[in-house]
Amino acid sequence: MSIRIRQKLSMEWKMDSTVVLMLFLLLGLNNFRICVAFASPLSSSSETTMHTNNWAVLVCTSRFWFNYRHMANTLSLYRTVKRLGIPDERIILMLADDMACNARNKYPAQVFNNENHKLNLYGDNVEVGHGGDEFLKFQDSEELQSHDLADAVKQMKEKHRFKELLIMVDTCQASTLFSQLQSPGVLAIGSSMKGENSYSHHLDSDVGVSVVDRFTFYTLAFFERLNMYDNASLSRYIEPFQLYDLSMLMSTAHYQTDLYQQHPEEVPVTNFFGSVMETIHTDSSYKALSRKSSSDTKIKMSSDLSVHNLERKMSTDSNINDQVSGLKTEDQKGVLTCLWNTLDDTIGKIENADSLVNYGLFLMLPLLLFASWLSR
Amino acid sequence: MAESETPRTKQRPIVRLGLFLISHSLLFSVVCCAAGVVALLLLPVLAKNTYISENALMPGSANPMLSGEDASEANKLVKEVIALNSKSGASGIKRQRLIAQYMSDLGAEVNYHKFHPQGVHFHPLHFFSSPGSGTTERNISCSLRGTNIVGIIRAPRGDGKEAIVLVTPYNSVKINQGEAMSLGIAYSVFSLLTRVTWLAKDIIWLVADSQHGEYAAVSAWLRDYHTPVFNGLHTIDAEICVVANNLHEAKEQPTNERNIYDGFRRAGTMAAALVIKVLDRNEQFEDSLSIYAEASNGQMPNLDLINIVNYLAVHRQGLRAKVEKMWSVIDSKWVKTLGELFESLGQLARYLNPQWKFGIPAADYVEGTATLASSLYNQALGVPTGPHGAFRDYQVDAITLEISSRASFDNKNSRNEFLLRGGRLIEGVIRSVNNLLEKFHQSFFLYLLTSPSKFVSVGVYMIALALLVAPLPMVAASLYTDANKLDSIQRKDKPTASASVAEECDVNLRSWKWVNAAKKVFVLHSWGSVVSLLPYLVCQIPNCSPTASFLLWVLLSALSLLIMHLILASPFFHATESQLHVGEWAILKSVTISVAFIGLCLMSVINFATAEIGGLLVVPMCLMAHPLKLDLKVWRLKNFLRVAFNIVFVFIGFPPATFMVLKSTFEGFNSFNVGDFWNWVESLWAWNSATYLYIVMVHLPCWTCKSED
Repeated sequence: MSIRIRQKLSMEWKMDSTVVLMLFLLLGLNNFRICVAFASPLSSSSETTMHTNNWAVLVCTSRFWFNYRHMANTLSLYRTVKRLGIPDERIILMLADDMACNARNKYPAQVFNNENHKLNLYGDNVEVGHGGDEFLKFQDSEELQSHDLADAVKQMKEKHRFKELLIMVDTCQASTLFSQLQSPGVLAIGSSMKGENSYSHHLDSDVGVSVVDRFTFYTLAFFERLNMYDNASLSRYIEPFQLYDLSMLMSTAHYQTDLYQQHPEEVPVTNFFGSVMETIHTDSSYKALSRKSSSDTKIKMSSDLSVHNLERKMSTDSNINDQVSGLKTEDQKGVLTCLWNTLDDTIGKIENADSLVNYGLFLMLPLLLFASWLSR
Repeated sequence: MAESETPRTKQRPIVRLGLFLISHSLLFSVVCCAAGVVALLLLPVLAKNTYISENALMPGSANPMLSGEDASEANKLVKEVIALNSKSGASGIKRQRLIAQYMSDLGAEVNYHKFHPQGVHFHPLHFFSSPGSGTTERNISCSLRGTNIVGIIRAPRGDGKEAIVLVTPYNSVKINQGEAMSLGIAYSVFSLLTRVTWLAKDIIWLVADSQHGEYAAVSAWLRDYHTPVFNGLHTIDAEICVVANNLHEAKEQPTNERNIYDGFRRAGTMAAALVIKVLDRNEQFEDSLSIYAEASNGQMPNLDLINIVNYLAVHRQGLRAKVEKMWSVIDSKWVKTLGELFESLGQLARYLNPQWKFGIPAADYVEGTATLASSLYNQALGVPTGPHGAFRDYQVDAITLEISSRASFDNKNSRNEFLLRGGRLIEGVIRSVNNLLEKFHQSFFLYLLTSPSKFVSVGVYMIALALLVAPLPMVAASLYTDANKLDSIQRKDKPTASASVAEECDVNLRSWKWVNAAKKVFVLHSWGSVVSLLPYLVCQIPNCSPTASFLLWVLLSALSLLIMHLILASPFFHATESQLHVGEWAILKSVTISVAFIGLCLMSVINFATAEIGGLLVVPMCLMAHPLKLDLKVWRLKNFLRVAFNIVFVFIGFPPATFMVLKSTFEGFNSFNVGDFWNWVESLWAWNSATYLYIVMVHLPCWTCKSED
C-alpha cells in the first residue's frame, strides 16, 4: 500500500497577518486492493514506479475574505490534478471558508485565479491559516506544528499507508515545517525559507482582492503546459524556482530530497500530480478472458465473494481508529488474503471444472448415505 | 546620599534609589521638568508614518465603479435642490420630499425622522452620563423641530447585522451650494451602492437637518436609533406637531412614494460613519480634503479609518489631505528656530552615524507642531470638531470629511468632475470598510496627529507627561521629611525638662501633623466642587449677558470661599497660625503637590491632552510655590526672583487668566472680552467635557492653595 501526500500552503504577503492557506495533495497507491482484483504481485518495486492509485489531499487553511487567493490557489490545484487524471473520488479537498458565496464577492458563486476572469474555478465541484517558524495556522485558531506533521507522516509510513509522499506547502517560512520529517520516501517542497514571506502574485481590482499567490501561480503556469502523458520530471518543475527565485517568487523555494531514494530528474511530475493508468497488453489476460467466458458459475461466485469479503474487511478496517487493533486487523487480513490467493490459484489450476463438479456430486451420495446411517 | 549609604540595616536597592532621588529632589525635578517639556517639543520629530494595520481593509484594491453617469444624475439632484431656494413658501418640506423621492426611486427604504433638538443646558450631574439618558422636555414648541431623512440600502447577500452610515448635514430652510454638493456626492455613491453585488453591510444615508445645529440633528437620530421604543407613546409625542403641520400638505402629497415608511427604520450596528461636507468657498491651489476626527473628551476614532481615508484621497483621488492646524504656531519665530535646531541636530546625528534617522526638515517640524498643537488643543477641550462626535458617544468610529474644490461650482463640467472625485473617494472608503470582519480594533485609539499621514502614539506621548509629573511625588516626599527633620531639631534645641512622656506625645503629634494640612486642602477642594455647581444657579437668571454671568460667578465663588473659610476652617486656621513656623507651610505644600499629582494622573487616564496642558501650568507653579511672607523678609536676588516667578505662575495658573493669555497670544489682544470665558465654559458644559470638572475640581483648588501660601 503506498500513498503520496502533497501539501501546499499558500501564505500571506504580509508578515503580521494571522491566517494561512495550506493545501495538501495526497496521492496514493493501494497495492492491497489491486493484488486481489488483478492478482498482481504484492510488492511493487520502487525502481519501476508505476502508480495506479494516486490520491490528492488539498487543504486550504485560511479563512476570511481577504484570503480569497488562498482558496483560489487550492481550487486551481484541484483543477490541475483533476485534469492530470486523478479522479474525483481520490481527491480530498478541504476549504476553510466559502469565498464564492461571501457577501463581498462581486461575482457570486464564482472564484477566479486570474484577473482576466477566463476560468471560473468554482464551476466544477470544490480548509484554511498562516505560517510562522515551524508551525502552520489552521482556520485562524488551531496550529499545525512541524512535529505534528512529522508525527503524522511517520505513523502513516509505519502503517504502510503510502509508498511515496510529496508534501507541498505555500506559506511564510514554509521550509521550517519540514524540519522534523524523518520518514523515508517523503519529498517536500515549500515556497519560502525560514525568515521569508510568501507573496501574492497579483491583485484583481475588479473583485478587490489578490487572487493568487506567486508560488502557486508559477506552479500552475508549469502544469498548464503539461498533459496527462507528459514525462516532465520533478526537477524540471522545481528548478526554475531555484534559479529565478527572488525575481519570481520574492522568496526562495525549498526542495527537500534527502528522504527520497530516487533522483528527481527521473521521476515524472505526473507520478504525484496526476494518475496515469498504464495499460499493458498481455496474452495471459486474453487467456483469462476466454477462459472466463466458458467458465462455470462456481468460480465466478468465488471471485465475487472474495471481492465482497475484502471490501467488507476494508470498511471495518477503516472504521477502527485504534492504532494497535488496526495493525492487528491488517495482519489477519494478510493471512486471509493469502488463503484466498491460494484458493484462487488452485481453482485456476484445475483444468476440467465440469468433471470436478461431477465428481463432487458423486462423492456427496455416499456421504449422504453415511450421514443417514449415523443418525439412525 | 551619605545618610542613605550608611544605614544601620542594609536597605534594598529600590529604597536606596528612592531615598537618593528624594534627597536630590531639586536637581531631579528641574531635570525631569525640562525633559518633559523637551519631550513634548520633540513629539513632531518622533511621529511615525501611519500604516494600515487591519489586513481586511485593503483600501484601493478595487477599482472605483462610480461612473460619470452617476455623477451627472447626482448633479440633477443638486440643481433641483438649489432651485427650490428661489421659490417661496414651504420650500423646506418640498426639498425634504424631493430628496426622499430620489432615495426611494433608487429602491432604498426611506423614512422621515422628526426630532426636537435638545437645548444647551447646564446639568451639573450629567458629566460622564450616557448620552441617551437626557430626559426630553415635554413642552416643545413646534417651530423647534427638525426632520432628518434616512435612506437604507439592505446588503443583498449580507446578514443585516452591520451598517455603514453616511451623513450629509444641510440646512433645510436655506441650502447653500456646498451642502447641495455634499448631498450630490452622497447621492451618487448611494445610487451606485443600490446596484452593486458586493455589499456585506447595510448602508444608511442620513440627511441631517442642520437648522438647529448639525450635531443636534445627528445626535437626536442616534439617540432614537439606539433607544428602541416599544409602546406608541414616543411617536405620539413627536407627531403632535406633525399632524398640525401636515394637514394642509396632505392633499398635495404624491401617491407614488412607494418605499417611504412611517416608523423608525433601523439597520445593524454601525461599523463606521462618514460625515460628508463640501466647503462653500473655493480652494486656492488644489482640491483638498480636511479630516476632522476629535470627538468629545478627546476621544478619537480608530486610526485605521483616518488611514484609509487619507490613503484613498491622496493616492487614488489626488486630493490634498489636511488636518486642522493652529495657524499662529506656524507664524511663530521660536518654533521655526526650534525646528532649525532639531534639523541641524539630525544632520549632526547622521554625520556621526548614517544609520541614525533622526530629525526632520524645519518646515516639516513647524507644520507638525502646528498640527500637534491643534490636535492637543481640540482633545484637551473635549468638544467634538463636527457631527462625527455624536457617533463616538456610541463607540462608533466616525470622521468628518470636508472636501473643497479649486474650480467653481458654476460650471457644470467642473461640478460633475468634483462629484465624481468625491463620490469615488467615499465609494472606496465604503468598499474598504465593507471588507471588515470585526469592528475597527487593530490600530490605535489613543494618538495625536502631526499630519494626515503621521501620528504620535500613546506610548510616546505619555513619556512627556510622565517626565513632567514625576517630580511631584518626589518633591512632596522630600518636603515632608525635611519638615519633620527641621521640626525635631527645633524641639531638641529647646531645653525641655519634662521627660520622655512629653517627647513621645510630641512624636505622635508630629506624625499626625499632615492631617491638618490635608484638612485644609480638602476644604479647598470641596470649595472647588461648590464652584463647579455655581453656574447652575447663575444659569437660572434670565437674560444675563456672558460678562455679567462671569462676574457673578466669580463673585459667588469668592463669597463661598469666604464663607467656607469662616465656618469650616477658621478655628483651626487661627490655632495653627499662632504657632506657624517654617515646617508648617512645607507640609501644606507637600500635601497639595500630592493631590495635584493624583489629580493629574487621574485626568491623564480620562483625557491625556487636558492633563498635559494642565500639567504644564500646574507643575511649575507647584514646585516654585513659597510663602511670600518668608521671601519678603529677606531681600536677596534669589528670593526676589522666586517671588517674581511665583506671582507670574499664580497669575497664569488662574483659569480665566490662562484663557485670556492663550487667547491673546493666538488671536491678538484686541479681540479679548471677559464674557468669552463664560462662553467657552458654557461650551464645555454643553459637551459634558471632563475638562471643566478638571479645571474646577483639581486645577482651581491647587491654584488657590498656592496663592494662599
